[in-house]
Amino acid sequence: MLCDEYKEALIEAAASGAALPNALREHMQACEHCAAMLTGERALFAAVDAGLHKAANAAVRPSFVPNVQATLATETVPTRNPIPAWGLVCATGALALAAAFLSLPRGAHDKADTGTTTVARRVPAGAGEVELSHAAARKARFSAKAVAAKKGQAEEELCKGCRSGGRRLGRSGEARHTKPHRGYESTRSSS
Amino acid sequence: MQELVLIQPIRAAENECSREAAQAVRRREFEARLAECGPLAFRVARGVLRNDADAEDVAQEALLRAYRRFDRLRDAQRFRGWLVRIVFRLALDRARSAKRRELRETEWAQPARRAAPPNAEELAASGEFQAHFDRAMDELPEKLRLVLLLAAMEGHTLEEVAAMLSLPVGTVKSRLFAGRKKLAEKLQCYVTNTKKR
Repeated sequence: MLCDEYKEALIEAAASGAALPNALREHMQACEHCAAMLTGERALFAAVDAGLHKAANAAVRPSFVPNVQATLATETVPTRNPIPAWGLVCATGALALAAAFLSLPRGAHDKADTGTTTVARRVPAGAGEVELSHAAARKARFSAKAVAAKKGQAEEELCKGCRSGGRRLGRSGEARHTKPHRGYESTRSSS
Repeated sequence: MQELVLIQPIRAAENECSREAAQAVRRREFEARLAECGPLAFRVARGVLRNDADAEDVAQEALLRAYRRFDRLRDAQRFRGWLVRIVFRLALDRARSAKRRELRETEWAQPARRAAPPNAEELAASGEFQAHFDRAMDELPEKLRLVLLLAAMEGHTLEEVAAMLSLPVGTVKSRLFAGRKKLAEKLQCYVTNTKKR
C-alpha cells in the first residue's frame, strides 16, 4: 500500500527526468521494488524518446528537393479570379431572393410592409370596400380616446364637487347639481 | 475605335508580361523556402506514414499545394507552420485510406494465403518493439502526435515548435509531456507481457 502512494510521483520523475524529491529518494533507498520500477520506467521513457527520434529524423533522399523543383517548374499556377467563387454564389442568391420577392402578389407586399398596414372595412350600405391607411386609423383612434378622456375628466371634476357637497356650475352657468348625488360612483362602477 | 483596337493588344501583352514576372518572383521566393522546408515536410509525412515512398509522395503533393496557394498566405513568417499543417493533414488522410484498403484486403484474403506467424526470435529480429511503438503512435490524438514529432526533430526547440503551431510554449510542453506519458503507458503493457513470456 505504501508503494502505491509513490507510484505516480515515480512515473512523473521518470517522465520528466528531473531529480527525485527527498521523500521519494528516501523511499527508493528503502524499497527495492520501487527502485527497480523506477529503473524500468526510466528505460521505457528512454526507449520512447529513441523511437520518437528515429521516427522524426528519417534521412531525406538527396534527389527529393530537386524532384520537387522540377515538378514546380512544370506547374502553372492559375490566376486568381478577382471575384471569388463565394462572392458569385452570394450575388446569385441575392438576385434569386430579390426576384422571388418581386414576383409575390401585391397584397403580400403590403402585408410584409409593417409601416403601411391597410385596414379593410366593409360598409353595409354597399359602398364597397373602404381602405384606410394605418396612420389614418391610428389618428381616428387617438382622437376618439382624447374625447373620451376629456369627458371622463369633466365628469370626474364634477363628481369631486359632488363629493365635497358644494354647488358647482356648468359651462353655461346653470346649476348642475343642487345637492350631493349619491350613487353616482356606484352607477359608474356598475357600468 | 481604331485607337482601341491598337491599344488593346499592347495592354494584353503588358498584362501577360507582368503576370509572368510576378509568377517568376513567386517561384523564386517559394524555391528559396523549399530548400529549407522540403526536408521538414518529408519528415512530418514520414513520421505519420513510416514509409519513405509514401512520405515523398505526400510531401511533394503538399509542397505543390502550398505553391499553388502561396499568394493566399498573408504572413510569410508562418510558412513553416502552414506547410506542416498541410503535410500532416494529407499524411493522415493517406494513412487512413491505406488502413481501410488493408482492412478490405484482409477481409477478402483466403486464410491459406496468410503468412505463418513468425516465432519469437523472428519477432524480436523484425523489431517488435518498433511495431508496437508505431501502433501506439497511431493511437495517439493528432494534436499530441504532431507536437511529439516536431519536438523530436533535430534542431527544433520547444519555442520553435510553439511558434510553428501558433501555440503557447506551456501548451507545447504539456502536450509533449502528455504524449510521452501516453506512449509509455501503451508500451508498458507490451513490456509487461514480454516479461511474463
